[in-house]
This record gives sequence, structure tokens and C-alpha cells, in this order.
Amino acid sequence: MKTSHFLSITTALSLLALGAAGAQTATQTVTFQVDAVNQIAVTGAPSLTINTATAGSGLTSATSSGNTWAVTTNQTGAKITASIASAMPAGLTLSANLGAPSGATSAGLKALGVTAVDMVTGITKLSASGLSLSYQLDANASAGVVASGTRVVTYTITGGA
Amino acid sequence: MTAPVSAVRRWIGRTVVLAALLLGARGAEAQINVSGNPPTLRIQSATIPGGQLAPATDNTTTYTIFVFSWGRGNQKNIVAQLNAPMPAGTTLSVMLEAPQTGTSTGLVPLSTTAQNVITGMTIAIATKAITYQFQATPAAGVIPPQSRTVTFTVVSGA
Repeated sequence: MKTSHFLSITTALSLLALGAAGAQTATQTVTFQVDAVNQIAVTGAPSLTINTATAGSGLTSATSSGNTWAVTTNQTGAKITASIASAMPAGLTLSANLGAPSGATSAGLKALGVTAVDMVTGITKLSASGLSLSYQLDANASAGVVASGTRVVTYTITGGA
Repeated sequence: MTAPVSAVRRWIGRTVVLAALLLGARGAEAQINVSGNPPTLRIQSATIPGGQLAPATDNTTTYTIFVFSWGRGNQKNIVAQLNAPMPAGTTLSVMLEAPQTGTSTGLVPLSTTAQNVITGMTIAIATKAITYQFQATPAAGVIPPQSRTVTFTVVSGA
């Protein structure tokens, strides 16, 4: 009983306070911002095997298509670079080709090394997914037989302005 | 014969509440207050690479509503509007949790035109949550901190 009595008085005081200080209008100041966002992802786990040649010519290149990449950036002139963590065996070349999203430029098929190379440039304020990504492995006869190996390809997006 | 003490207390309590209702309604029959300003709504990432930017949301602020309106056609609404348009490619939306009477219109994109966020209130005394959502497309670019004033107004409903 004491509790309900206390609540009644509390409610009454609250209402009185509202009556004294309230208004039919209230305002809030909302502050917002958008940071630079540059994100990239790739799909696929390509495997490349060279196992044939045209007689009298070099070894036949191996290719892997069907991989994809995706990008979101809210900056102007972002670019994608690619590199591998360790050099390829002598006589072997691993290359990649990224399809460009709308308005950007692909560098086409580029050989990968430990130094990052530009793959796509001029990516401006967009989100795109399902973009093509293909790999090619080339070998010359002097490479000989090479045991199975792997390389991690690192793609990096660098924001523009 | 005297009334039991408990009955007297109940009568006093009800009388005080009724008096407060009448006094509170005397100046205006509907009043609204907010608890303060929300923290900065900041977009920092995409939902997934290749997807849209992840919205920023906040529900840490509240509004307190007092509506004392009865009779046919006397329902009250809460409308909300901005003092200036949002930057291109961005949207600021708000949702008010409904009081005992009344219906929330859900997440409403705000503009400089007043829009209903709560409709159909009659008698309501409540403190409820305010939820903000800030969205931006990649085309909006990088936006340094800036502010808008959101005004909530209690108006007569249809």
C-alpha cells in the first residue's frame, strides 16, 4: 500500500513537472560522418597444372577462370595491387587478370612477383561483385619438372582521394 | 464512524493524480521531451566487400510523451523533420517506439518536410526509445562530421 501511494505521488509530481517544463516540440542534434571505406574480397581456390605441349613449341599454359573478386570503395581513384609472398621457381610465371568494374581500368594479364603490381586502377565510389578473376601459369622447358607448390596472392586496395 | 486509513490514502493518491493530470493538461494537452543528443552516427565499413556501406545506428536516447486527449477526432501524432537536407547519397531515418496508445510508423527517412513517426495517440504517459539509422551509398564519398537538427512535434491527428 505504501508503495502504491508513493508511486501515485511520484507520477503526480512527474506530471506536474511535465506541465511546468514540457513543450509540444522537442529537438535533437544528430551528428554523422562517413569514413573512407575500401574493401576487397576474392573467391576461388585455383589449381594450375602444366602437363602438355605442342610438339616443337613451348609448354602449354594452364589457366584457371571462374574465380571472382568484389570491391567497395567510397573514394575516387582507388586501385588494386597484387603480389606473392615468395618468388616463383625459375622458369615458371604466375599471372593474374582482374576484370575492371564500371569506370575503372584493368591492367590485363600481369605477371606476379614479390613486388606489388597494379591490377586495376581508377576505381571510383562504387560497389561491385562477381568481377572476373583468372590465373595463368606459364613454364618454359628449362624449368623441368616442378613439384607441386603454392603461392598466396595478396590483393590490396589503396584508397584514392 | 471513520474510514479506514488505507481507504483515505487511496483517495488522497487518486485525487493528487487527477489534480496533476488536470494541471498538466491545463497549459497544453500534449508535451514531448527528449533525453539528449545521440552520439555521432559514423559509417566505417561495408556490409561485405562488394556490398553497400554498413549503416550506423543508435538507440541510446529516449523521448518522454505526455498526451491527454480524448474525444472523437482528437488523436495526436508526433511528426519529425530536419532543419536542412541531408548530403547527396545519404539518408537519416528515425523510429520512435510507440507509447501505450498510438502506433509507430517504423523507420522513417527524414527530410525537411514533417512526417509522421507516431500516430493515433489519445492518453499516453511514457518514456520510449528513439532509434536513428544513418545510411550512405559509396557515391556519397567521404563525409566529415556534420549535424542536423531533428524536430519532433506533437500535432493533431486526422
